[in-house]
Amino acid sequence: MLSARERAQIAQVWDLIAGHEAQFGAELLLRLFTVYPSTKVYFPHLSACQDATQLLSHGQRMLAAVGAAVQHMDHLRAALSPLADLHALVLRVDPANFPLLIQCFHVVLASHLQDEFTVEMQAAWDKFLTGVAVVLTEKYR
Amino acid sequence: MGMKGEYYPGKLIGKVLKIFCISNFVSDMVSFHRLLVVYPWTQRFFDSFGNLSSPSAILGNPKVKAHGKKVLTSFGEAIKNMDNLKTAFAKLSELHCDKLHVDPENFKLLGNVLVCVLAHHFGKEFTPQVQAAYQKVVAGVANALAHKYH
Repeated sequence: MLSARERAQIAQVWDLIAGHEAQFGAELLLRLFTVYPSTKVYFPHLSACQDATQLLSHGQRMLAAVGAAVQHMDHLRAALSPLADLHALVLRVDPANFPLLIQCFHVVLASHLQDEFTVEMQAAWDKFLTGVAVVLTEKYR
Repeated sequence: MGMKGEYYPGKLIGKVLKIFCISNFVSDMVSFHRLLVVYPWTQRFFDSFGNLSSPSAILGNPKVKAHGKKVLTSFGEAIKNMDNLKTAFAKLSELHCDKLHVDPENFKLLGNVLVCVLAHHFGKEFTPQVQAAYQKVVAGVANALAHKYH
């Protein structure tokens, strides 16, 4: 349940990311692999060589999905259903890993955007990403 | 946790500290403010703190400032005792369990928030490697604080 204010803050955060999906996405993955090496198990080819082109490409894809979630933040289940199927049937990423990704996301935004990424924006963004994670893992059983 | 060298990249942290002079952070209470705003359920331990009704109320609250300073000072001590965190934090661990009744999960939340504050402050200098080093430190502190729970 997002308040109007939270919706606005989430949209604000996305405005700061839009156009930089590849760059932010690649750094997000790099931080994830560096800070939480166990997450590499879910990205065997990507994490082994950490090729910049592949990181940018996969990062772009992940953040594009986040952008789609922002567009549909009031009906995440419907919008993310195919991705939820993918995570449940194919990827099967343990749910404990999503908070690790979310933490790295906050660090990417805080380090790049500094004062533009306010405390209230972080609160709304954390709530939103946590909701996305719930939807992505909802079909696991 | 509490092992030397390769688990806590001591040289990296030492280098970071020299450049960044972490003592400056003790007076910057924003970590605690950020914890109470981003994870509002953590406010449950601070009923006696007065007005926590909005982010600006929390930011201006003198008790939040004072407590933030206490917590961050303690954290600064941790940096000096990284090979011996469990001993260094034994008494505080007992206090948080027996008197304060704080769920250890909150130590992890505060640690993560502190890392975000560092990222905000240092920008691009807060590289993935530096983040990794600090996440290990905050995880070590969180574990040390939870160690005496029973």
